[in-house]
Amino acid sequence: MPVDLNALRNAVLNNQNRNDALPSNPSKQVVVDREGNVKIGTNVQPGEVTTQVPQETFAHNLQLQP
Amino acid sequence: MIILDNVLTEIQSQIAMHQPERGGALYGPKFQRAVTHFEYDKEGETSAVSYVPSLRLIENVKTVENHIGLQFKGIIHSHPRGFDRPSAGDLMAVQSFFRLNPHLSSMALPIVQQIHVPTEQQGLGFIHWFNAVKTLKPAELNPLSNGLQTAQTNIQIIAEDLFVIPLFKDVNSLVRALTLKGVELKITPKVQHLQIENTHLLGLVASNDDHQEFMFFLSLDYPLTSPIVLYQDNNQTKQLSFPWTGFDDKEASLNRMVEALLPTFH
Repeated sequence: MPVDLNALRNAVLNNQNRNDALPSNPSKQVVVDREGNVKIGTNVQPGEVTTQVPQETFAHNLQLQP
Repeated sequence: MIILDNVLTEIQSQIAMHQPERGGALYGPKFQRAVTHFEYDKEGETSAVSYVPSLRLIENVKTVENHIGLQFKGIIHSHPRGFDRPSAGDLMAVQSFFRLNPHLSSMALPIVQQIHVPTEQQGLGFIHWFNAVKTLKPAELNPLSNGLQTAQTNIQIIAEDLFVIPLFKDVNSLVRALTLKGVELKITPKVQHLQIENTHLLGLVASNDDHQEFMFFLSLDYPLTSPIVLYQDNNQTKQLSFPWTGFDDKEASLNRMVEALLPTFH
């Protein structure tokens, strides 16, 4: 599976210059498929569910009913 | 759990060096037990005894999973000194998490303790790593609940070892060694994810205004397995060849990499 290293480098450098949603060191994934093709991005696949985070309290002394 | 060294540094500076309770979200490659990104929740509702994730952070989790390609791994937050385990209150939050996400069966739930002096990245005493796992039958009493008699839950809290991948440390070390040899490069502090078939790689780019550069990618097995280093040769990207004996002597291997890289800059 020969990988086009020039395409890989270009994809990485393009990512380096993008602004992303994550404030800390964000980057999109660069994917090299079985045939050696270089692609950017691994967006959620059809049918794949994204995570939901509840706005619950994380508390060290919350008393619960036994 | 595997964690990138810069994530640990960020957790230290954003959470551990401040009063509890503060928190944020953890992300990593899909289906891998690795944390490669941390998002501090600067808008989280905090008090001396509790942390509530902000709506902005909650919304951003979907954005990150949809557009960045990372997977949410869990919530990290700090407790007052001495409370170094998830509490009964934390378990309630985790229960809600599993109710909302029936497709998931675990989340990371590390607890941070306040420190006043930054420690070296190898010093992990300020962070206690736990994994909350959904179980089939209720746990009768959670022994990690700091003595609180909790309601029966379907959640097991499991303490985990933490393994740090020294990506920034080692690339910084390479750049310093190259500087001593007359090649000055600057690291772009943006971690690059690379997936080659089923192998996940993490990387950094070091470059300068004279178009000299190298790219350093490592796998989650690093330093047992060799990193992949790319360099430029007459506008062509090539892979650096060098002997790697990371199992035996990583520092010597990094020195050999510096020697192999030097001729590529001339």
